[in-house]
Amino acid sequence: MKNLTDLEIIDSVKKGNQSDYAIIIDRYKNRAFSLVKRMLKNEMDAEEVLQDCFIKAYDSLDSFRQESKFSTWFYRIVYNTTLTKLSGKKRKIELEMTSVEDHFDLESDYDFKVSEKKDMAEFLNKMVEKLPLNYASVITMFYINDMSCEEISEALNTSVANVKVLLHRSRNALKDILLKNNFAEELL
Amino acid sequence: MKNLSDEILNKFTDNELDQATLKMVREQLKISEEDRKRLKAIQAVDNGLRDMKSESVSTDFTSVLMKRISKKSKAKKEQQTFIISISSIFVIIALAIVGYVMHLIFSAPPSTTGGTAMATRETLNIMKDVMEPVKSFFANVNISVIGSVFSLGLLISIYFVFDLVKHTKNNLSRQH
Repeated sequence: MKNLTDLEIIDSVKKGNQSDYAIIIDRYKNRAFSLVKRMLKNEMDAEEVLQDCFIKAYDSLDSFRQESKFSTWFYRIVYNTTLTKLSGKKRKIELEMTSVEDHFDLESDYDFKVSEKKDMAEFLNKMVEKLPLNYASVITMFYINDMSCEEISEALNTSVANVKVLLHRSRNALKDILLKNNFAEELL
Repeated sequence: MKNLSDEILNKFTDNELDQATLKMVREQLKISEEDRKRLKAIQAVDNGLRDMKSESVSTDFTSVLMKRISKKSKAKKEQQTFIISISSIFVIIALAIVGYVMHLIFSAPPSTTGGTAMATRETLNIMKDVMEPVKSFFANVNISVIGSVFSLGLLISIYFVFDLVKHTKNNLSRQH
């Protein structure tokens, strides 16, 4: 059963096999959690919001017309639901201020510790959490959720060019941190 | 010579450059240590990000969520059943009234003289015939029976409204 494709599982759920939805949950929960957590920057809220996302997706299964991949459709729900949660928490202003045109400075609030040099992935993980919302979302979707720029653009309802700009700017910001702290020589 | 832009280095990392630009970039990288260093840093970021692991939800996440979904589906079914039952009752009542009116119309003796006045008088008579049993139905003892039935319906409706409010409150408190 676990080898079935997303579409096959969804067909089964639509036919009344509600318990099969657990396979979809198990398949996406951790990757979607990474996205929600980075957007909300709060673990407790993230689980609650993720539950709401899965319920919303379950309730909307009939409207899923299979024009895109299930994962893209689902991540769009996750992204939009999390945005709604954020706006509910009056973080909308912060969100609106972080458009593609805005600049951000990761270094200004980065407290460098020598021990972090040991684990590049852990270091980058911490840095990604400090990225503005839409940059962190794109990085998470691209690197953790294995989505293409086209799929991300569909999920975020933006252009592919915008997605690439966000991706490159995030990498540049992280690169600048590496160069400033002489990470590159040690790791390459 | 000018240094390569971050944009070019990112596209080089993503293998998105055309052949001519690719050749130019390779030439530049051979002679510029600064560009090589920046490229290495971007590639280190790219590799490091690929090594990032996804975060994990709590162990009982799936079971808790499936319970919520199951409970929600059950409540939805109950609400649907309630709405269908109430609608059916109203439809049956409406059908009964229509049926009774039709019965009166078809069982009335045919008029011997034509004309609009005659037809109007006949319609008024039929309406009077219809209203009489309705009036008697709502009179005296019947009114208390009808009141009880409506009260019961009202109580059931209130129960569902409170249930909905409770669920909404729970959902809101979970969100905050």
